[in-house]
Amino acid sequence: MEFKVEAHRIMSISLGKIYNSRIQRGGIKLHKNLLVSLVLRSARQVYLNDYYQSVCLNAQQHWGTHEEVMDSDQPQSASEPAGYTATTPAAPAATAVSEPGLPAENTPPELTIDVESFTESHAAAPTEEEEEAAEADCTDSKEDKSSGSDCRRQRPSELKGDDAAPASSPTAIPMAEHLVPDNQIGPEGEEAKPPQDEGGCGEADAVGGGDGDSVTETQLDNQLGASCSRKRRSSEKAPPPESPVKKTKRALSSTPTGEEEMDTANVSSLITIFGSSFSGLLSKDSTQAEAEAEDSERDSGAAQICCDQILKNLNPWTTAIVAF
Amino acid sequence: MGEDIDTRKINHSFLRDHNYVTEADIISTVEFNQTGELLATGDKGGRVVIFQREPESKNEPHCQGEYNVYSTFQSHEPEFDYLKSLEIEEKINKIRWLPQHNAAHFLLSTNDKTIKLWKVSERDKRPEGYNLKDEEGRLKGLSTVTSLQVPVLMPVDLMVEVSPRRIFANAHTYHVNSISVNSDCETYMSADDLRINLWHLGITDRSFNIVDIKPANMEELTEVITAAEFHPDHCNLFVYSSSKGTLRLCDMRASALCDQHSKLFEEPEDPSNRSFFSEIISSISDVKFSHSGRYLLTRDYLTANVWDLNMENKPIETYQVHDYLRSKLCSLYENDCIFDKFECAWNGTDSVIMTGAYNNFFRMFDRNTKRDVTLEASRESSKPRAVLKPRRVCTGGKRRKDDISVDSLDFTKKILHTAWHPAENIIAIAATNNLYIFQDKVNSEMH
Repeated sequence: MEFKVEAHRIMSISLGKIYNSRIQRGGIKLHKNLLVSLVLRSARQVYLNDYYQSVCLNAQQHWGTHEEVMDSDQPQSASEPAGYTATTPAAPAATAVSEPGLPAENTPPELTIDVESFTESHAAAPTEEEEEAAEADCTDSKEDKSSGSDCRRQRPSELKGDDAAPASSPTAIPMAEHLVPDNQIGPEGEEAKPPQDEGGCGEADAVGGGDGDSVTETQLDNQLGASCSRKRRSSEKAPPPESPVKKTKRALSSTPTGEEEMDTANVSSLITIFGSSFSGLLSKDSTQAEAEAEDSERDSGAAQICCDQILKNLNPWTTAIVAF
Repeated sequence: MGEDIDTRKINHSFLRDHNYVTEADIISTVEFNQTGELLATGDKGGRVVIFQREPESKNEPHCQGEYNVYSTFQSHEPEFDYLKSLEIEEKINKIRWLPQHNAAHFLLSTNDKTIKLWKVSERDKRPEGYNLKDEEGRLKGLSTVTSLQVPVLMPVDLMVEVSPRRIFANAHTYHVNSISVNSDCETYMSADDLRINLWHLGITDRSFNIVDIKPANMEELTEVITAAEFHPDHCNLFVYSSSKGTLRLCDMRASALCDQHSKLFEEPEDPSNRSFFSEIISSISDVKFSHSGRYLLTRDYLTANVWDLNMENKPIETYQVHDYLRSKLCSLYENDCIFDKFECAWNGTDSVIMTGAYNNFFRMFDRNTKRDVTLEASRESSKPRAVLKPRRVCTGGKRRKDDISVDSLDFTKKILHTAWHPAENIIAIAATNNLYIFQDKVNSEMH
């Protein structure tokens, strides 16, 4: 739908603006970044509306045959449409523009942290939605849903266990939480918990994770149609083994594939926005991106996280506002 | 109305090539003083240029009232905050004149973090005939002093001296966007994105925080302060605008911390106009009290609104400045133009409001006759004593000669800063790095 494409384009532009604001002279402008984050949120709502409407439609077609397996495997799966209406995190209006706030007040001395802080705080609030969104995003064709479900289910606990050393920012919590699910293929996949350079994950927002669990458990529905096309943050672990699996999964998934392909195309455009140094992409562009990606720079990693986080946190806090 | 405007053009002597604009020369604020005799401009390079109006001469009625450079000084320098690794821009965000009490003039100028009080004074006499010093100021040998004389004051060429009298620093975590001098002439306030501080003009090491909208959890941040101004007559009242399009009138008598507003001016959003960018275009970029103190003029991205202090639920007048941009918001978002902060101005009698637009256009709206005019401030179209020709933006439909189509508007030429003489029909328009001063021909004929 053209709305979705437009929304995605606006999201990527907004992310680019936020990223560029870090290097602007005079420091990060709170007002402008707040407005950009509002636009980002609106675009995200529209994007998700369209996206999950189509997902739901497709999934409902498969719902009957796979219902039993689904129920047992994915208590946590949350439907996006149901999710966002049910979940209201602490701050319905949270736009989490803490990026200027953090640098201004609790600043880690490096500017590179700013985006991370921003994304972390941004992610921190709607962690419940993030989980749902991430789950929704996870590729899970009907055939592989078990692995997908494991992916989701294991995520919170694993995250808490495997957290890397925290980054400079104390709020670098939910990062890994949301990055990991993309990487995990399930039991056969590696424990691809790319220890984030900066995303300390220590506490991994235990509260958020817990809330997410409780919330997601209340949701039924299907992420199955959704596919996990998100980029993965740069990691030391080699993604290639996963990529073929991902490709297989995607190939196996039925109707949403078309949309997924479009999403990955947009995702790769996001990558170009944020520059190189991405590795381990989940899409079929991953091989290309890996070629481009070198080491994991914090900046681009942060930007990718930023992109990841925001794209994945597709749960609007408030009632869905359908733009135009 | 526009047809009567006579034009004068003032070129800054320090401007370079007209086509190439150094960023430091971009004018960032324009302000007349209370009498209109002086006009101050600040630029991105931290400099302040003060123009003075020449006294009217009966011999040359056409040359009366020209503004010439009076003084230039460097107000702010770029700084570096080592703690936060942030560069603090030297761009002058606002200049406000203090009411004049003696021969000297005082103005406040601010960048993102620091406010400075400058004293502008003239020196046109110099003492001569010292006993112990010679003409160059060297000490005379005592043996050469044979008689005593009384030093006398001799006239010299006028010299304008500018000196910083106060520096109000370290009170703002966020970027200062407004300053406003209180009618009591003793205090003033400075507003940043989340807080407003009240200062005494004589005390630099303390300020009182009177508004604080910073949420406990920054993730819950939903709006920021965009502009603030004191009431022109009531020293206890001030108003501040937010990025959500609301105005809050606060009374300092009510409590020390004015987080609770006395009045909230907000117009409900029109749901039919909702888009991705609704929040951005509803953000108020400037607020000005009318000279009478009864009305408020606000500017958001597409409109200018006049509010009556007695009516909070909607403005009494809404003027569409450039509504043809409503369909182009996405492109304007991409090129960042949607974040431009346009200022607005009242004329001396509160009957006309003025604000800037793109393509070096600026607009005036007559509140009484409901007529409006679009004028252009450009080198090509403005010759000395030429009459400004009204412009029109063609939005489809019939296209007249000389109309500009929306697609050919130059969005890099924006008029963000305008000022109107407090008493006469003289306006100052800042177009990037050029300052245009236009006068009303009718006005000049009266003398």
